[in-house]
Parts: sequence; C-alpha cells; structure tokens
Amino acid sequence: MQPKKQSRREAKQLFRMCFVEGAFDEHCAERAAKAVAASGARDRLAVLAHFLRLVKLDLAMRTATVESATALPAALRAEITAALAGRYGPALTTTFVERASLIGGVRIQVGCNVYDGSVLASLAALEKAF
Amino acid sequence: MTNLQQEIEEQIAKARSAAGWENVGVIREIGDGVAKIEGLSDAMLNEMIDLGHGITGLALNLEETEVGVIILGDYTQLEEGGEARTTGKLLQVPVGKGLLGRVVNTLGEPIDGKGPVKSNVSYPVEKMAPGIIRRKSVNQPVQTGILPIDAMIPIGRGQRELIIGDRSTGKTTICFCPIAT
Repeated sequence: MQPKKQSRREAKQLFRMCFVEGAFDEHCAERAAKAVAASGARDRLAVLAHFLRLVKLDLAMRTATVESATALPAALRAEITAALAGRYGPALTTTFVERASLIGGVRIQVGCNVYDGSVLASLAALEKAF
Repeated sequence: MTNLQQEIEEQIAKARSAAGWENVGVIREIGDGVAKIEGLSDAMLNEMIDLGHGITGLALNLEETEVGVIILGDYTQLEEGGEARTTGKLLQVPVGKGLLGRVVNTLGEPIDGKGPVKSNVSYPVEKMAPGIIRRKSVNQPVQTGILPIDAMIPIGRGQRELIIGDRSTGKTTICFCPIAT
C-alpha cells in the first residue's frame, strides 16, 4: 500500500476511535493526537495532518454560520437556532456573523450546505440571467 | 425600450424568488487539469461542477471527504481555496442540427468563432444506448474497397467491427481504405 494511503487509513481509524456514544469527543481526540505525535512513527506527521483535516470537516458539519447584513433581533436568532437544531440535531453550534456586503437577507452555511437568501445572491443570479 | 424595461422587470421578479440551497466545496488541490475538492457531499458521479470563472468540472472520483474533478477548461485560472458548486446536472452537451459543421469543445461550446450553437436540446453524454429492437435495422453495406472483405465478410453501415492482427500486418491500412474509397 502507498504510504499516503496508509497514513490516511490510519488517520481515519484514529478519527473513528474518537467517537464516544456517537458523538465526537474532543478530549479523546486531543489525547490521541498527543499519543501519535509522541510515537516515533515515520508517517506520524502525515497521519496527524489528515486527522486534523477530518476533525475540521466534522467541526464544520456541526457548526452553522448565519450571516446577515445587520445584527438580527434576539427572537429571530432564537427562531433560526431552533429551526437549524431541528434539522441538523441539537449538537449543532450556531454562530451569527454580520456581513454588510450581503446588503440584505440571510445566508446560512452548515458544512457544505448553503442556504442563501441574501440580496447579494439575488443580484448575482440576476447578473447570470443576462 | 419598453421591451427592455419589461425584460428587466421580469428578470428582477425571477431573481427575488430565488432563495436557494447550494452544495459548496473548497478546492484543496489542483494539478494537471485535475482538482480535489473538499466538501460537495451531494455531488453525483459524472455531475458538472461549477468551479467559478465560467469553468466547469466533471465529478469522477467520489470519496468520503472529497471529490476528484476533471477540469474542462483552463485550470490555470483556478486557485486552491476557491469555491466550487454542484449544478445538479450530469455531463450534457447540446445536440441537434445546429451542431453540424461546427467545432466545439468537450462541453459542446463553440470554439470556431461562428457564434453560439443554435440548439435548445441537451443530451447527457453517458446516456443509455437504445436496445437492439428499437434500433433501425442495417440495410446498407459499406464498401471498404478491399475485395476479400466486401465479398466474404461485408460490413453494414452503422455496424462496429473489430480488427485484430499482429503488428505490421495492415490493420491501419484496412481502416483507412474505406475512408480513401
């Protein structure tokens, strides 16, 4: 087996071991990363790099970023958070970001899923239509 | 002027109703016309991927965390970290009589400088071929110009033939003879 594939496979196994009762355990991941770094394995850097990538992707899947042109009222924030938790599970962390370039509307990103209802996206669609 | 105004109003009305969902990914690696894209969890095999800058890619290698994409365009315009989007369309090209005599690229876009291809219909590239029964029967021979072949194993127009032979036995000559005649 190629060294790259081998290290990726090991990183994936390590990542799977960090799940406790179906949820990713950050402390377990930290301990595992330290143990790999301390080991004298030749491919430890490659394993750790791929492991870090998997952790980042998992974190992105559990994080929702809600962007809006202006600050959203608390009631609306709570409503959006509840709707996202209902769709993606209660473990989802929701962060609210202000981005003036959106002009208006809301853009929500959860992992690689983007729900874009912003004016900026509408203008981009309008530009494409012509 | 009125038409232009109406058209703009129509487009604005359409754009306002679009609050859509997209599946996005990030270009992680590019090299020799192939890109590795992180994300794109809903990409389909042979789906066209919008890589930005008007460049389209073809999703060919679906992995757990990334998608291997063949870039059908100038890959030097793309950069690592750029966004890519699924289009929901399998690889398809325009078809019809408007394509006759035209020179097109892999996506069926004209590269001969004669303007856009006049075609409203697109067909998927990986379309399932019709069954034997539905096909038109072969009723016209192809004259290869090679007497033994035309006499003993005549070839029908539309048929496929396999030419097997040792090296330097004239396989290419047999292929080119029908073209020459």
